[in-house]
Amino acid sequence: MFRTLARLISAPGLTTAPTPAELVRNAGVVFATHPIQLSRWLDEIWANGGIAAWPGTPPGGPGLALGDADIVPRLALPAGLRDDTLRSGIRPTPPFPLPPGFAPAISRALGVDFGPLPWEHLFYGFLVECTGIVDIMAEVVRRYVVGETLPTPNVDTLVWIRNTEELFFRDPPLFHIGGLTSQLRPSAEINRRNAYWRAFGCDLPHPPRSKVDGQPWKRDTGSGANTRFIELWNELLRQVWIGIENDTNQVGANPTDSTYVGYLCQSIGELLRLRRRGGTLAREEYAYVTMLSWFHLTVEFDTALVNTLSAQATGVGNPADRLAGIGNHVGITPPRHARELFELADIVSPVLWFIELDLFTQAPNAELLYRRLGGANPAIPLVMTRIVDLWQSATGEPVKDQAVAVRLAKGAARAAQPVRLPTATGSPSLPQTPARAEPSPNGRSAPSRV
Amino acid sequence: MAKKIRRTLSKLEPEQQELQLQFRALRNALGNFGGRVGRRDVVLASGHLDMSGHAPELVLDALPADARKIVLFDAAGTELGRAKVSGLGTPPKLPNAPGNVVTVQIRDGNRDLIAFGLVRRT
Repeated sequence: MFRTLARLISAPGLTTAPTPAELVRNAGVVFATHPIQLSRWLDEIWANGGIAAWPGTPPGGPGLALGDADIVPRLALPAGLRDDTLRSGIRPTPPFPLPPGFAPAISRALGVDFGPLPWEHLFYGFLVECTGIVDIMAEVVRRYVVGETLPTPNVDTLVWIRNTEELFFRDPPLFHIGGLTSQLRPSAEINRRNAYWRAFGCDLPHPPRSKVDGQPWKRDTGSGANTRFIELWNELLRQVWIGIENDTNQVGANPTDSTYVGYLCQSIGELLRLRRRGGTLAREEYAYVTMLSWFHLTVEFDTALVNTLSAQATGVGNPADRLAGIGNHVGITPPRHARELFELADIVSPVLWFIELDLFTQAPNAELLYRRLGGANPAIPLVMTRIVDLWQSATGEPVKDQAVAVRLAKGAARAAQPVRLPTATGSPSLPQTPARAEPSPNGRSAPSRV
Repeated sequence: MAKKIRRTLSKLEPEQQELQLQFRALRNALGNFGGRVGRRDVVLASGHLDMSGHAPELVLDALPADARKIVLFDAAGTELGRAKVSGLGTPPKLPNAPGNVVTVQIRDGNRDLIAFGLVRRT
């Protein structure tokens, strides 16, 4: 959300793409805004409904976003409070003085008058957090507030530190939509891992910062964890890649199966919607993706903190380079595939929202994932090609290997579509069920931490 | 085989075109304008329904240069009407617009969808 806010400052209707120079300035404006305004702004954006109210989403039915559209108004601050004494007043105007101040009563906050501004999918949060960015930023903030072991900050950096600590490392204001820690679930990082585990059956590739006994985020989840998500996602990417490879075939066989691609989208959508029944995880998703977008924005450009810690990557660099530079100061090295994770996170949300909304289930619609079909700007196949490239590079999963024999020979990965029906239990012809992989079911090893 | 070749060279069906536009609009609303992946891609248009007069007037803030037709929709996605861009004047204004218009689609001369707009109320 905060990355979107930085874009809204230049284009309140998102009808133009801001220039890189504008985005650097806008990020500074966002970080200079008072945390109580930012906190209230999140409540305002939540109340507009996000993806659940986005025009074009199917009304009702199996594809209903967020599990139940009523979850938004039922959890939102009452309009009388939100529009009156608890307004954010965020509407910076040129020449963008710092701090940006409080907009007069009549004007509505940026993004609020846009309509239902959607937020990123929870998978965005998972991918960004896989970079280790929260641990690195937490250690940076901690070092700055307890001592002088890091380079001397300027005022802009100190404001960023204050805002980050207020917004994400202390209990949020009472009754705020992002208030997800309590006496019953006191650890924010365990809470986030719990959401990732339930939605995607995945653990973060690094251990928690705090010492914990076992894996408390998996306790009491019952059977409510989508442990098939990654398997289905890999298979979807594999099938989409087959479609991309064969899109322009005019002679010979074409192994692409749009019905199967649609089925995989349907299966993934059903899994994700299963975890959202009644609006479950909607609030958690919103809080976590907004938090991760704050940190993502911090390293997206050469911002105040990046400059203070001499972690610049200039205009041609990427967030992973800046994060690595910042991590050097606090002795934490991001994983080597952080670059891919940031870019994946940036492009994956609309695909997963469409899958959850059941919009790719029909075969003609599933074709859009891999066929250019003569369109002027085939946005979807271009995005999917990039996702396949980045996912393969980040995870090592050979999604471009279409040879079934190779995949079966490895023993660990099984196609989502079984090649034969299972026979009697205990039959020697069936592969043995692998022992439950305890620490990292997503198969990634933990990055080194100093 | 002949059927396969025709399909490979065919253009998007109207439903596919609409879905692709929705995808691009959602991507823009998430603050992503392409660039890294493919060409820079902006499809969101902005409009507001002026309810202050005796009849609602739809004012479109900006239209793509190749815009030829505007199609109006309500919240359920039902088409409410169409208007030619050449008759809207500058800035483009559509008098007596339906009060329940929520979104607009903008088409070019080939009837391809080129922009999608959310309608605000003032």
